[in-house]
Amino acid sequence: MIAMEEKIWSYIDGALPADERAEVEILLQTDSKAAMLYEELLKLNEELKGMELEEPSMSFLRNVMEEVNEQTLPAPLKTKLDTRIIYGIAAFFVLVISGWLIYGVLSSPSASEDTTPLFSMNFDFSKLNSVFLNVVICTVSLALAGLILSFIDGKLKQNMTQKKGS
Amino acid sequence: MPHIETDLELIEAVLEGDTKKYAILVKRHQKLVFSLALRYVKKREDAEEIAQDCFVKAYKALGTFKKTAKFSTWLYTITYTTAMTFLRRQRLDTQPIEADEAYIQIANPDSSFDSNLIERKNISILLEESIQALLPDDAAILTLFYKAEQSLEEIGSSLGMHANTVKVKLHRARKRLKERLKMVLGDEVEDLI
Repeated sequence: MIAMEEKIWSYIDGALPADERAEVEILLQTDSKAAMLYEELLKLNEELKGMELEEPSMSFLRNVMEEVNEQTLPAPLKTKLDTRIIYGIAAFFVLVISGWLIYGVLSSPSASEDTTPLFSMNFDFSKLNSVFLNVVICTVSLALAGLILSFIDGKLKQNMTQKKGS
Repeated sequence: MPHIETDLELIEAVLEGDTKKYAILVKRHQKLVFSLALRYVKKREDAEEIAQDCFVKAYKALGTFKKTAKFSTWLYTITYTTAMTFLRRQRLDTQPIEADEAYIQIANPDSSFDSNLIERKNISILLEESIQALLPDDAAILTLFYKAEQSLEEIGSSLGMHANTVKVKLHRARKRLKERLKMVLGDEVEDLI
């Protein structure tokens, strides 16, 4: 009975595939109990469709708009993601990697010494400290510059949106 | 015939600085948001507070709204989370009347479902009261399914459930509702539903 009721509900909702739908239609024609249940559920379905929604108080809209007007104008998501910042970060990484490669080439033995390849992967660890320090300083400075720029960018955009809104 | 702006057009206008358009969005969705909030709290003032909070939150986050989704689905998600936050904050005892308890209540002559109520034969009031007696999630699912015309997937997305769970809950809610109405109305149910 429960399975039949669920099936009839699904039939009423139009959620059954064609074959199962045909099955239910046959059942409704042949089984009087099922047909009665269908009528009952159909009426309840209509009642549910026609049920009234609750209405908030008359001042609701005014209250919402008063509170909304106190808020900063929402900014679209796309303005928050400035592509220039992304390109800046990408350029920074390209620069660091290129610098590293150039350093590798320049610090490798000269071409006249044929015993070693042009680009040596045998890193001179004695130079690591100074190189590492340089890279860290560069990274921190650039990241800081990026953050400051993005902060200024955000502020300018916010000002522009507020001007537009007012 | 005047052009009725879609939700998306209104959102675009608001984001471009025309905040007054937000009032149209609020007016369009306030009844459903308020009704949905009423599924979780009993007092109208509380439901109104939730609904108001929901619209302000939606406004503040309007820039993050993905235009691929339906605005209403997004709004109902905010309503649901706002209602949950409200309940947690208020620490209200929102334990719903379980089906079994509800039947006991109906059988009790001192209960609110007395003969006067049956005499009224007002199916819409009875229906509303019967829905209110369901589990809040079940009542919310019924509201979203019948009044917001949301699909099972959309309801699942709003309430943070799988579509199959919504389907099961929807069946359960309608079954309980039918049984409850039968208990309240007795033989008269045949005339009314």
